[in-house]
Amino acid sequence: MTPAKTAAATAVLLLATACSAGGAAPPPADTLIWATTSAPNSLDIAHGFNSASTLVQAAVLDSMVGLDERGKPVPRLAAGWTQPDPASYLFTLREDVRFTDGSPLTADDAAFSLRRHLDPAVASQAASYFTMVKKVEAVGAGQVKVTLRRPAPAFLSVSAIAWQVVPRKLAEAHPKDLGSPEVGTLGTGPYKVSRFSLTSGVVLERNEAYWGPRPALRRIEVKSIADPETLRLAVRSGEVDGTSDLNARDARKWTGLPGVKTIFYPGDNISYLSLAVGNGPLADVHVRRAIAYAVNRRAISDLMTAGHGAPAAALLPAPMLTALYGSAPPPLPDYPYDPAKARAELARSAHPGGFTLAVPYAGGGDTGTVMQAVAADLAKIGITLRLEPAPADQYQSRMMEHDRLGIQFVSLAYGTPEPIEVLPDMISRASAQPQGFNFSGYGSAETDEKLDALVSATGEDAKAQVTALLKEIAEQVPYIPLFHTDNAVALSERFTASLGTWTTDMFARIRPAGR
Amino acid sequence: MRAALTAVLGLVALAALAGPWLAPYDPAAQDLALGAAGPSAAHWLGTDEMGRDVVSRLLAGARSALFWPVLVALFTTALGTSLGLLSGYRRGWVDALLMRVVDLAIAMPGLLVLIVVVGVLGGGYGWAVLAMAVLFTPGDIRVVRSLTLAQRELAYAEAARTLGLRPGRIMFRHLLPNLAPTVVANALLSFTGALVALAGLSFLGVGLPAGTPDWGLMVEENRQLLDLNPWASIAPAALITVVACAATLLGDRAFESMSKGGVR
Repeated sequence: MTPAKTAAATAVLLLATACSAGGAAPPPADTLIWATTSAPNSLDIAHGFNSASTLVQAAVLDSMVGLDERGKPVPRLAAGWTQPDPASYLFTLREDVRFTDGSPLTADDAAFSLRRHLDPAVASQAASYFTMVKKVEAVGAGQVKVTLRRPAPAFLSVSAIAWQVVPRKLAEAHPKDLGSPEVGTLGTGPYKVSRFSLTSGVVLERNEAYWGPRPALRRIEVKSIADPETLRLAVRSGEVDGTSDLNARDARKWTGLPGVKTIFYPGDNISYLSLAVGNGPLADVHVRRAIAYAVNRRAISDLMTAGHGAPAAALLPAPMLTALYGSAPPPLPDYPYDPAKARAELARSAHPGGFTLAVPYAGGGDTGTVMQAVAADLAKIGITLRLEPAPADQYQSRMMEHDRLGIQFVSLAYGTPEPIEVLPDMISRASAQPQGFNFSGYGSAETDEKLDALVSATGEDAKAQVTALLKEIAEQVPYIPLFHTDNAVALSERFTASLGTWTTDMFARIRPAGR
Repeated sequence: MRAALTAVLGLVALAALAGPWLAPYDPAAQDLALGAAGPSAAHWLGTDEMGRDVVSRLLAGARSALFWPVLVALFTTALGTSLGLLSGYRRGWVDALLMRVVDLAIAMPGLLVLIVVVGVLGGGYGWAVLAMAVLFTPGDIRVVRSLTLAQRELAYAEAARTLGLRPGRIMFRHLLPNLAPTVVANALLSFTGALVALAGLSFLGVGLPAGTPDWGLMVEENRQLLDLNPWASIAPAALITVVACAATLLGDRAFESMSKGGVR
């Protein structure tokens, strides 16, 4: 080999070594790389009320109220509050809190941050959380008074989710595009946004001036990996440190990954079948009860949760039932799997010989799997479901328009232990309109009155009213509760986490192992 | 070689015809308690997530794997050949008009059009198949037209015109037999294209309803089970590949054989 060739080969070797060494360098211990299956679309809850966006919002924006490990409201930006009367709250702001641009947090900022959700010009996705709010005003320099239309004990809990505080000046200037990549946002939270792109994700840096405990992570990178298997491989290879977007059904693939731990905890969610009570045979309560008897909920629960969940006994997430009733839920009308009873109920209906029903569903996901199991169960009693696949986006869009509703499989997740967060979604007449979640169409003026009364109820009275509504739902069967699923997180063993059902600020609960 | 290819397609055709009788289990029968399991004496290729027998579903799936692509191939061959002959033989404004339509159709992204059709028409699989047949036809028109342009100038075609035969008779009785090798090869290519495209549609979850025994759908539904029963996904994928390759190679062989024979 000539000296020139030797020199060239050495240079190439050195270059390759340098490159490979650079590529393999582990990230700093206090840098977390997180992945979500969908990208955050807005850092403003008014326009990004979805799991990927709220994950980032909770790290950047503080809420006035937090939730403790039992789901009880606790002070956060509000140092405390009083109730001058049952329908109003007076919040006292924490002192010396500053936004990440250095400007001080004022009562006016806090008041405006709630009031903007009621402004039709903002078209906030969180507006339905605050329909009970009548008036919000800053009282002096450090207090905010919220007047409700009527007493609403759930107000504090929903505030923990959706009353995130931003500077009034910024929010006023950008009613529609606050939180977008172009405008960004400003908060008082433990992290500040270093970069936000709809395509390349979000980078957060520690807010060194944070008023609370110093965040353990210095830098967080959030990237989007849509395909679940690609996501799993990214976590396995160490390209990503963690994700909360793993499906409990696929837990077996995640447990045992080298260097990765999986954390499961009860999720505030419920999966159910919705039966459109105005749609042909489903209008007959005996048909609905026959379907409830015919569906093998235990088998579907086992299939969909793979041991990380349980069959649902009532139309509320399990953590809500536990928060309300402890370990002794009230007895409700039940429909254990029993094809004989299902046939007997169907015989009492106007369709004793069964019927055929077209059922649109979102292709390529859990919905198709559940609907196959349901269709097989119903076929045993003479009800034929003609499954019609549709692209997922189109199916969701049609469902939200309440177009062609029949039997729908629905999974919903909530954020508080308050049944009032769920029940109006399910049985109020307002939610039976397009964009509402009452896909059964069940409800009446009487039901709305009961929901109104529940909003103001507390203690044993609230418990009794919830029980009455759950009993009515179980008797009339506009919905068939199917199962609850655990929340799941996969996390590199380089980190530790203390997570629970009511955790809203996930990144604040993660820290480098050993620190 | 040709015997082997014919045998492959023959076996699939047999499964399509007699699948329900050959299947050891009802392909729709679920056993959720069993779930996904690997091969065993009871289930030779194991079961899927719903506890359904994979072999039975493969046999039942042969019917949709053959039926719909054959339908597409017949439609595109009949329409594409007729319009290609017409365009190439008549030339003039008929040719110009048809070719612009063909240009437009070929420029469209086929799979996206199919997804839109299925979406807009509410998941009607028949509509998707019809749309696919329409999308495949322009290719056949263009190929047959180019061959017709050459054939119509040959002496035998000139002689037919001199004898005063009607254009329809000249096109279908005299020109068409000379185009047969290409038409047959094209038909088999259309079959292959339809088989793969329809499997792709099912894989994307916008084809046949969930639970239908269909090879494309089986690949999609079972790909999450590779760790539990890889055969549930690999077997239908392999069958799609084998049948597609067999049809393509058979078309190739048929073209060579018919060309050597000299139909004219």
